[in-house]
Amino acid sequence: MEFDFTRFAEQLINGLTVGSFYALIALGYTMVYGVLTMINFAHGEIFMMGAYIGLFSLNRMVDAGLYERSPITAIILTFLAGMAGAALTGVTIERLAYRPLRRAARLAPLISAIGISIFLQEFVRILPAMGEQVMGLRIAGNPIFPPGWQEAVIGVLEDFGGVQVKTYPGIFTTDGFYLGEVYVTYSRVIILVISMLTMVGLWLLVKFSRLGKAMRAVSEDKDVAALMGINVNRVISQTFLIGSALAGLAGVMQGMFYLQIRNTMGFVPGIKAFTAAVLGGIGNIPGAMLGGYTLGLAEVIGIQFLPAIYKDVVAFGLLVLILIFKPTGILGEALTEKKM
Amino acid sequence: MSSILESRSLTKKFGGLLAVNDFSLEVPEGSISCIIGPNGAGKTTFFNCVVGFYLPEEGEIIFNGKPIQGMPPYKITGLGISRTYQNIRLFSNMTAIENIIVGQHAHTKATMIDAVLHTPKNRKEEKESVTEAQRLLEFVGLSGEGDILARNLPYGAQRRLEIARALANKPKLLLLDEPTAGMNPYESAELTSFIKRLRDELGTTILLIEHDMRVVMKISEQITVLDYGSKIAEGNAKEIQSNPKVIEAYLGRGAASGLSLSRD
Amino acid sequence: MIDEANKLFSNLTRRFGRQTVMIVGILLVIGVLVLPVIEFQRQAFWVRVIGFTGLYIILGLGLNIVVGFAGLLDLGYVAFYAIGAYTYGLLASGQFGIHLSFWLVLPLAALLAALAGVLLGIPVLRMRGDYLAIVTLGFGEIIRILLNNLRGFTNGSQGVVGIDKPVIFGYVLDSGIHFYYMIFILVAVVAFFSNRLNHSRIGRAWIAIREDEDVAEMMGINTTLYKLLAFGSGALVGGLAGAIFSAWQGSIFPDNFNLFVSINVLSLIIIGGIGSIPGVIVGALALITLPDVLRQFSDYRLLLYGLLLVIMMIARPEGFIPSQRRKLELREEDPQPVTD
Repeated sequence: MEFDFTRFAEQLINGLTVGSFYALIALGYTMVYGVLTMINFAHGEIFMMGAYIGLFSLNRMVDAGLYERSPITAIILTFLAGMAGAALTGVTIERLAYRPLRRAARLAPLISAIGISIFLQEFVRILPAMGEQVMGLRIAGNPIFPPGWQEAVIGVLEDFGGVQVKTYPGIFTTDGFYLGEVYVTYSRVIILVISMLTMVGLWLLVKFSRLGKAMRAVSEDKDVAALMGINVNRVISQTFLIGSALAGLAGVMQGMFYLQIRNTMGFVPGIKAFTAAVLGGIGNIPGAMLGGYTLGLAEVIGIQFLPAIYKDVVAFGLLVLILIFKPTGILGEALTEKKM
Repeated sequence: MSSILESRSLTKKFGGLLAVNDFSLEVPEGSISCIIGPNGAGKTTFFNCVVGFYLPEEGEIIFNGKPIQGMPPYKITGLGISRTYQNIRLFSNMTAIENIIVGQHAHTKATMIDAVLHTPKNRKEEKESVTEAQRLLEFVGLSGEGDILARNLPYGAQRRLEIARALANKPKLLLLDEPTAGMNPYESAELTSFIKRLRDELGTTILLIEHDMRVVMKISEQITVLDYGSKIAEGNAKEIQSNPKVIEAYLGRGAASGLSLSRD
Repeated sequence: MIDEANKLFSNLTRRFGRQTVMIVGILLVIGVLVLPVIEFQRQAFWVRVIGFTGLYIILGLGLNIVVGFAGLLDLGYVAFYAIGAYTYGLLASGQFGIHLSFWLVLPLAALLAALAGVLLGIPVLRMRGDYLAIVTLGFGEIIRILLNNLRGFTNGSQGVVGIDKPVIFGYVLDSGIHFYYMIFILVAVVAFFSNRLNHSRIGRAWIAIREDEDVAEMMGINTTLYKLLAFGSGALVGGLAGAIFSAWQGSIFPDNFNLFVSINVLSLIIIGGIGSIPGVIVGALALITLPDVLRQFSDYRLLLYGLLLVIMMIARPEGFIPSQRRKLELREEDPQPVTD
């Protein structure tokens, strides 16, 4: 096989784009692992929620004509809505399903997270059906809700979720430019720029803000941090908030650039992003970013040699190899056995 | 007296830190020996090297005339070394007697097939295990409490159960890591005489790490003092008590001449 | 009459321990009460539901060895079920024109699965807790992807069809009720052996590893060997269940072996009471039978399932029937389990 540089360069850019998604989602895993030493198994579903809430908001803005008048504003608002929705989901999950288990055996939060993961997938799927049933309730033969309400509510719920695949309106075209012989779409550049700016922002936040310091203290020792006057619960909530918002950002991007979203979309990116987090050294924020891009590139390089259907095998295989040979990841510090 | 355990120029590093530094020690067979030293002096690290939990970078550990460094812990246990932990580490969701029976693992042989088919061999072994465990329970004064989950036992009983579990391995050498930690003077005096009884009745060599000087001085036939990973003194109680280096290590530089009592 | 029954009961409990007697009792009660109904009405529905519950009990008992006894969190258990199923499927169907006897392939399937269990065990030996969960999850997914994509071997997503029915003394076991009995017997056998293991030198070594791996090794337990033994035994049971599944269904598809099977099995163990054999049975009744019986709520099945996991972890993390240790020091007339 002759080495085709143009094709290789295209794949490289492709790898960086995919890597951006992995990196953004991986940050949430790593931050939560950092403060709680737990794997938030439902993190992939938070990413999914971000995509759904983003689409729902975008549709509202299209309906209201805002998208026609000022597409940029509408897109920015879509991102913000998706991030806020995902953040709210993440913080709520932590409060209801993880916080009561903080002192429980290790298995308990993991099972709880699996439960949440299934719940969210199903919630999005059956929301319209559920709405229909509730709206159709009758007391003594008379409908509780006036017919106008029924239609409105069911319409809104159907617009939000449901069994079928949902599709984002095509915002970005395949327009682009040539970099030498390599064609690069603007949309890819936008993904890369948004992701990288966000990640640099996060890194600065964690490195220099009071919150960042508090997060590091909590991850060292919750009890001692509490004695130092740190509100541990608040720091954990804020960690979930930030990590989930990043996943929401990735979710909206996924929708805008790949168009189709569905209730199960969180699973594979979730696992991949976890791999990325481990790859970079779990608990380590720059590590998650590095891991995300490494995994993205490894996948595109892997499918140069293997049929494309084995892309997922590459990721899992890499995960196993990393855990065997360098369980601390690329940037990870030596974890004590307790943390493992 | 020949020595049962010998450490020759043992060195264990953690990164740049010399946790145990060129440490040599001979533990006479049948003795009660003690290692003392300030916190972080490398005492527990030394124990961890002996039982195979850590691999020392340099030096040799000779047990019963054979080098054992580099062997996996379960094999070293099989040779006849048992230990207890500074912070009690029992199998908390198993009963007291089961803890002891697990301690007999190296001396029992039932395979998976025996276990599944309940072969006569297996039944005999199980019966003997239980009888032996009951004997050990009695020996440490826990008769009648064998069917209580380990985590539900009171603190003192947990300490004694841990010793019983260590004895279940029929050790030639028993390593006790701060056995009286967290005990009141009465309990610790009781445990001291129990340790003495152990050696006198079972002939087990005992090497212990201890902070309580009353205990150390009362039972030790040989005391070794570690500071910053190195041996600074060795001898009997009297020699150690009057050794200026030891006083310095414990009380700080200059303390021996009465100038200062702080160590920084 | 009642006196004699009492005497028999206390004799049995003394001989086998109360737990075993209870397990066998529960099994008999279910079998005796439910069987006549099936015989009378010949309802395929019940044969199917109880048959599946039985298969999940077998899977649960197998995974319980790995997770409950040895404390190794395995989220890829479905892989061994798949290996068992495909071993029989490929060796007794038109796929390759091989038609080996079920009774020959059953042990072979079990052995192959056990071998796979040990092979998976080797690289993940040093991992603990959540890491192990994710790697085994990845392993399960890799097996499913391979089944889907090795078309020449497994026929891909079209699955293996026309799998032979077992023949015993010239009599073809082709109706649901035959498999019902076969599964029933296997449940009893696996529960019985599993209970014996639990209270043996092997079982105690596993539990010691679960409680504190380092100390277990200091007891003279070769933890590497015992962990592999646990992986192997668990996988062996999974392989048995898989072979029966494949003979019963007559056709198998990669999607029969998705992640949700692993999650189901793990959840039923934990809901039932981790490490507890009667717990596995109760867990399977709660998570497999109940949802199947409550068909009218089928829309909400998974949603409630997810919620149940979370609520159980918060309200009763030790499960419905927490595992108990047997009294050994003071054996009385009727040995009682140890209570807290």
